[in-house]
Amino acid sequence: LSGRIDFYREEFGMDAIYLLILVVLYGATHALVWAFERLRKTA
Amino acid sequence: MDVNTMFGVMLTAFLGIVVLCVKPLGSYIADVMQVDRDRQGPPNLALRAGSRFENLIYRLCGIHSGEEMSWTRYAIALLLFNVLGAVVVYGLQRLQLFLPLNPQKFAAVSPDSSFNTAVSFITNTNWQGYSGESTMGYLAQMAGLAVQNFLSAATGIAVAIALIRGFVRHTVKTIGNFWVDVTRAILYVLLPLAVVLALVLVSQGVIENFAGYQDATTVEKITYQNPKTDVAGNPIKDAAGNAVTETATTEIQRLPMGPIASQEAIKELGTNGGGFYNANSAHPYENPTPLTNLLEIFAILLIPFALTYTFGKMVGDTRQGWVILTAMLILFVPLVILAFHSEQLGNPLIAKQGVDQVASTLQAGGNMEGKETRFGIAASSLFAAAATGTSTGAVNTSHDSMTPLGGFVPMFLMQLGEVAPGGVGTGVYSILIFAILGVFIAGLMIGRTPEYLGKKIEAFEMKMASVFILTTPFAVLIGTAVAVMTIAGKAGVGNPGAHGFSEILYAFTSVANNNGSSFGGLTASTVFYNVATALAMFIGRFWPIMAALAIAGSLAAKKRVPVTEGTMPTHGPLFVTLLIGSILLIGVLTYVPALALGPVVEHFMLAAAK
Repeated sequence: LSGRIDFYREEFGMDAIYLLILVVLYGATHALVWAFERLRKTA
Repeated sequence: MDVNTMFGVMLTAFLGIVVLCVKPLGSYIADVMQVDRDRQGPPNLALRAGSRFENLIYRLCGIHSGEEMSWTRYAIALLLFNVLGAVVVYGLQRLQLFLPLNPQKFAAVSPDSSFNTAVSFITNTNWQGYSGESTMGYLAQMAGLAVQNFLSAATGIAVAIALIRGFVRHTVKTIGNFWVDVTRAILYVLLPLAVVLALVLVSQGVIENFAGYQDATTVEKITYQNPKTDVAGNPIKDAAGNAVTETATTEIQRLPMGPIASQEAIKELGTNGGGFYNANSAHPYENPTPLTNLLEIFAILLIPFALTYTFGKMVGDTRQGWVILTAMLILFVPLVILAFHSEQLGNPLIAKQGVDQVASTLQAGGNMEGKETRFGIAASSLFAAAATGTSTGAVNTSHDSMTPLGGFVPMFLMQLGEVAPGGVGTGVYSILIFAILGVFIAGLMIGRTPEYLGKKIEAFEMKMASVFILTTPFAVLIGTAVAVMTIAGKAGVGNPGAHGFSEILYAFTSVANNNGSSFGGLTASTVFYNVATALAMFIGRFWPIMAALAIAGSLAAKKRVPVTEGTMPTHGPLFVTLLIGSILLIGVLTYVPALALGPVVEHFMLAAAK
């Protein structure tokens, strides 16, 4: 079991990076909603 | 009866049956998806029967079902729901070794592959950079992938219904409740159909179990070339970079088991396409007989076509829905015929070597490379067109092995923007955006303010329609350009020249349009392709959805304009022509330069027998 946990520990950094990419994609899309709504209100 | 006539009869009968189902199913979907404030008359039997269970779900999840959402709240709820779904799917893959229902004790899926698969399944793409039977345990397949098959399809239906509400409602700020729409789409539409189809598939031989993989003794010993690996399990390569192999002999064949039928049913009905096995619907446990093949094609086309009637019924003029259906069929049918004709003609280079490719009572003729003999050319061509015209992405044949023009058909169907007939929900909302573009172009030509279904189409709607239409080509063409210019991108190409370019172009076309089918030939299980295609899938799915919901919100807030003599009719042949013209114009102008470098040049090279 300790070997398996070490394996996960080694790749934990990569997990963090991919989850961060997901957060960035969420943030960018959320910002898009905000931008579209501003555009609609000013139209 | 010659093969062409047989194909014609099959296609006509098949599409006839699908079209016969459009009205009853489309009408039913409209009934169950309409919220109380929009409904005229009492709720139907399904709603009455399921209301207790539905309300229980709302209570357990803390949903106020009567609460309406503005388009921004609707969009954020949708986005959050799907991104959290991606985190769950990612976690299930990374932790599968510690989780139950993993009889093969598969190790954790790599981070980049987990990321790609998570994004792939929440976006209804189901692009698979991994091989299911040698990577995923049953829990990851069921609780991760199959659940997302339902949720992503329901998300598509929810967006379509929200956009339709934009036309139906007037002078209001809300477009419905996302949680209610998703719940109803699953509970009343997807789940009942999936249960029925899964049982039918099981009756035809599709397996459904949790057993460990079975070893069978083969009739004869098999000798094959096995790639050599080092102590770390990595393939050993020679100086030229080719894999070093050794001759091996076996008389044991390992048969992967699993809960296939339940995943197969929603895979087709939800236009998802992600197979339990790497061979997808070519695998005999997923698609064992010609009958299951036709049932699967039927399941793929059923909801996307039926939603056109849902649209017509909800806007109070079913002719509007039939017009959309007609446009979809006019785009779809010629391309199916082209795929079949190209495949049946065969490969002139093989014919030159004296190989008989003419269909007869003894052989199917044509190009049978990469096809299952139990399906043949006709059913394989129809499957390929249905799966790529609908954003399903399931495959029962190798698209890489199709003739250049045959392979062009699936690629072009995707490049049209997945509107012929498109995915579950995505097809209808995408073609409605093209309809908005069509009436805008017509308005410019005749000098009137464009109107569609009693709503004025103004600058904001056109800006959003432009964002909707241009986002996907942007993801396709930029992704392809980056891949062909980088070493990491070129490393995955399986064939040189025009065909290799087609492999990359197809991959990005497939992911950005949320189709997920694979051309084959391209090694996409690399960090570069896992990340690049995941970005294309996310952007290709959610950015257009945000634009569509913005249009829904804007339209719902507008007053309804009365129909006058000057209003352009949108329920006749003229509008069908306009709609098809808009779709083709965008598709052709955007992709012809890229297509010319791939399948088109390859076709001419083949014709010239080079």
